[in-house]
Amino acid sequence: MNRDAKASLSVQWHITSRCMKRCRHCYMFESERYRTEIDNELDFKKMVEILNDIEDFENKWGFRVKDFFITGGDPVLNQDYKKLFEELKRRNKRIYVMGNPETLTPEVLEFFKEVGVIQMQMSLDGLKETHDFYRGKGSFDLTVKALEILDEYGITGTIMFTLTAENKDELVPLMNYLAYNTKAKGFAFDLVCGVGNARDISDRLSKEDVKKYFELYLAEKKKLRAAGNPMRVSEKSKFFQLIHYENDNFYPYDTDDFAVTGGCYVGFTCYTILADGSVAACRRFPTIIGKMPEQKMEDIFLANDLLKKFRRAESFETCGKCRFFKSCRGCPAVTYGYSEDPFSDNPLCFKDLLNRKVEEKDWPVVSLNTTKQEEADIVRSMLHNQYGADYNDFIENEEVLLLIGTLLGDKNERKNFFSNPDEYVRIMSMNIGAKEVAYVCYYVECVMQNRIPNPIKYSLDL
Amino acid sequence: MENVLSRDYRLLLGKISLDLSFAEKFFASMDEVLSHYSITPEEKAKLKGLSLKRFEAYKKAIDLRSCDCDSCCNGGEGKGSCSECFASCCQ
Repeated sequence: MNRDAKASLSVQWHITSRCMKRCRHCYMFESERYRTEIDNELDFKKMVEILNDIEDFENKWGFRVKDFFITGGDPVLNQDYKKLFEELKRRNKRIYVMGNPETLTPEVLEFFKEVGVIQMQMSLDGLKETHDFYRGKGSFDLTVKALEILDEYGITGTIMFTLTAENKDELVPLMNYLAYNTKAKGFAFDLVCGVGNARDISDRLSKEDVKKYFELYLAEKKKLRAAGNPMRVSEKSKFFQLIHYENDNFYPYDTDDFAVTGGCYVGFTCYTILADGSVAACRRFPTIIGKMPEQKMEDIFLANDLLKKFRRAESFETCGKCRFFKSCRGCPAVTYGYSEDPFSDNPLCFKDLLNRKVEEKDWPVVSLNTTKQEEADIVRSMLHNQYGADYNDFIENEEVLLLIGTLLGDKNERKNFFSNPDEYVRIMSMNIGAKEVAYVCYYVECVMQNRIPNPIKYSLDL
Repeated sequence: MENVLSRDYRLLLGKISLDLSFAEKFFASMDEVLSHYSITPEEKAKLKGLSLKRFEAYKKAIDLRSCDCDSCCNGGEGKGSCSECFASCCQ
C-alpha cells in the first residue's frame, strides 16, 4: 500500500432539519431525532469550530476533505447558510447543494453563483401526478422550472429519483422526459430505504423487480447515448455491477492491496454531520456515532467501532462472504429498512437470479482492535485513493496502455477480459501485476459508465 | 485469442485515453504523432477521424464534472482521486 496516498473524504452536512415539505417517504420526519435536530441547530461559531477540526484532521492524517454536500431539510432555511457557504469558499472547498426548488429565489441563486456552488440536486419521484403525490402539489412543475433557472445561472441541476414499488414504472418515462424536455444535466436513482416516513409504504420492491428495472434503465441509457443525448445517466446503486458482471462487462477484481475497491461509502468516503452536530455513519438510518464539535473528527472517523465494522467483511452476514464484498456491500440502509440490522442479508440483492454464478469468498478477518493510524491506512488503501497516488506510474506502463487500448477498442476483447481477467492476462502473456489489473478493471468499468475522463469515448463510438 | 487491431493502434488508444497531455499533443499534430507508430491505413483513418471539437468540449467538461464517482453529483476530482459522493441522501 502506498502510505503517501491521500484519502479523499466528502462531508455531507445536513445544516438544518427544517423543511417546508413533508414528503411521504422522507427518512427524517417521524424519526426520534427530528425534534432534537430542530431544537439544537448549530450556530455559525460551532460550524466554524467543526471546519477547523476537519482541517486539523486533513493535516494530521493526510486526508483530503474537499467536497461539501450541503443539505437539510432545505439548507437555505438555516439562518447562517450564507455565512457557512462563504466560509467554505474562503477555505477553497467545493460546495454542492441538495435541496428544494421552492426556495430558489433570484437572490438565493445569485448568492449560489457568487460563492461558486457547483451543483444543485433536487428530487423527482415520478411523472407529475406521482411526484406530487409524494412531495406535494405543484412540486413537479417547480422542480422542472428550477432546472431551467439553474441553467441560466450556470449551476448544474441534477435529479435524483427514489425507486419504490409504487413508482417503479415511472423510472424510465421520467428519465426520458428529463432527457428530452428539461435542462437536467444528470439523473440517478436509488432504492427506497424503509426508514422514517417510508416505513408506511406497505408495498415493497422484490429482488425480481430490482433486477428488471435496473435492466430496463440500462437499456434506456444505451438508447439515450446512441441518440447523443447529453444528460448524464448515473449508475448509483452497486447492484448495477451484477448486471454488468452477467454481461461480461465487469469483474469484481481485488487484491490484498485494497481494503475495498468501491461500494457503499459508509466508513470509507463520506462523513455525515447532522444539524445538531451529531455525526452519523449514514444519514438514511439511525447510526449516530459521535457529536461535533465536542468530539474530534479523528476520534469518530478513525476510532468508532460501528464505522470499523462497516469496513470489515466479517461484520456482514451474507455480503461478507460474497465475491463482490470489496466492490459492493449493497446498501446497508436499505437492508436496515427490512430487518433493522444493516449487516443482515440484503433482501434486494439479485445475485442468485443471475445466469453467471457469483462465487463466495473467504475474506481475511481484520481485528477491530486497531490504532487510529491502522484504521487510517485501511481507508487510505481503498482502490481509488491508491489509484490517484499511482496514476503517473500507471500511465507510463506500456503493458497497461496496451491492455486499455485493446479493451476500449474491441468489445469482444473486453468481454474476454471481464470473463476472467487473470486468465486473459495469462493467455495474452502480459507482464502485468495484480494491482495494475485491478486498476485496468476499475478504469475500463468507469469508462464504460461514462464517468471518467476519456477522450476516446467522446470521439469514437466504442 | 488473437487481436485484430495492431499493437500500435491499441497502444495509441490507451495513451490517448489515459494521458491527457499526450492526447493534447495528438490533437495538435496528428500526422507527426502518427508517423511514429506502425498502424494500418484503416486504423490511421479511424484515429484521424477523432474530433478535435469534441475533445475540446470534453476538456472543458473536465473542470465542471471531473468526477470519477458514480453518483449524480459529479463531485470529486479527475484521474481517479475523487471521493465518491453519496447522492443517496436525497431520499
